[in-house]
Amino acid sequence: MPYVGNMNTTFTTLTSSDANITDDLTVTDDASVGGDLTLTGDLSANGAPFTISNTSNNNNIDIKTTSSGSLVHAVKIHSGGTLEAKQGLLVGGDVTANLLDDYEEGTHNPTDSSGASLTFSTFTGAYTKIGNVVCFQAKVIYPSTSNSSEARISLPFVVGAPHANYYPSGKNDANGNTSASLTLGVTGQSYAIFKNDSGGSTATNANLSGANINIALTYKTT
Amino acid sequence: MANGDITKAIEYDKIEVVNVWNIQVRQATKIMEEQSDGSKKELTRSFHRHALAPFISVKDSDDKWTHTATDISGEDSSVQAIANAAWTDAVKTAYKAAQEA
Repeated sequence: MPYVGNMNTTFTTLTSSDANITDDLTVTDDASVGGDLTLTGDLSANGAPFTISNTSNNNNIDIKTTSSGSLVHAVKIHSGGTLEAKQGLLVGGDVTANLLDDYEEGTHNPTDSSGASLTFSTFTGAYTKIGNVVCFQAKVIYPSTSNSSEARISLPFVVGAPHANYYPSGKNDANGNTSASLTLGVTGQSYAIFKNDSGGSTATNANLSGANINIALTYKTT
Repeated sequence: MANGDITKAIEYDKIEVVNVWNIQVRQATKIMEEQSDGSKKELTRSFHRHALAPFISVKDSDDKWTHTATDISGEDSSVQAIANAAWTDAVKTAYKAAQEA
C-alpha cells in the first residue's frame, strides 16, 4: 500500500492500490481516484468545519450517483448557492409519503369552463404548488349573461381526491345576482364550480352575471 | 444579434397526461442574454399553466349530458400531438362515462 504523507503539490491520478493520507491534502490540479474513495475519521479534528469549495467562478458543485447504470445528478449546488435536487427531498422519513418532489410558482388566468364560451372581463391568477398542494389566488369578473349552464372556472392543476363539494374559498362579493361560493369540481377535473350559498345548488352563469369573484383557494392535486 | 442582446422565447417545457385524459400544460417564458461566444444565457424563466380535457361536459335541467369536444386548434403543435395521442376513442368514451356517472 503506498503511503502518501503531507502533500501540497500537483498530481493527477492515484491509480495504484489504496492511498492513505494522514495529514492535510491540497490538490491544485485535476485529480481522479481510480477506486473507491473513503473519508474516515473526524473531519473537524482541528476545530475547522469540513468544507467543500469550488473556487472556479460561476461553476457549480455536482454530486452524482449511478442510477440504472448511468451517472446522474443527485444534488447540485449552484454557484449562487441554491441547492438543486430534481428528484426531491425526503423530509421526516424515507418513504414516498415523505417525498417533497415539486415546487413551482406561475400564473394561471382562469377561463370559463362551463361550455358557454364566456369571456371574463378580468381574469388573472397566480399559483404556488408545493408537493401536491396548490395555492391559487385569482380574480374573475363575469360578463353580463343569461346563460344557464353550471358556472365553472378553470384551475391550474387537476383536482385530486377527495373531491367534490369541498369549499376551499372564493366567493362572489355580491356584485352579481347571487351569493355563491366556489367549490372544487370532480376528482380528475381541472375546474371549480360555483354553488349558491342559499341551498347549495350549483350556480349558473346567469346567477353570476356581472359578479366580481375574488379567489384564494388551496386544494390537493394529484 | 450581438453580445448582450436580450431575447424572449416561449416553450412548452412540461406537458403531462394526468388521470388518463387530463393534459396539464406548462408554458415557460425564457428571457435570455446573448454571450460573447454567441450562446444564450438564460436569465429568467417564468411559468404559465393551463389544463385540457377532451370534452366540456354539461348536464342540462333535464339531466341530459352534452359533451362538446375541446378545441385544441389554438394550442401549440406539441400540445396537440400529445392530446391527439392521449385522447383515443376509448379514452373519450371513458371520459364521458365518468362525467355522467
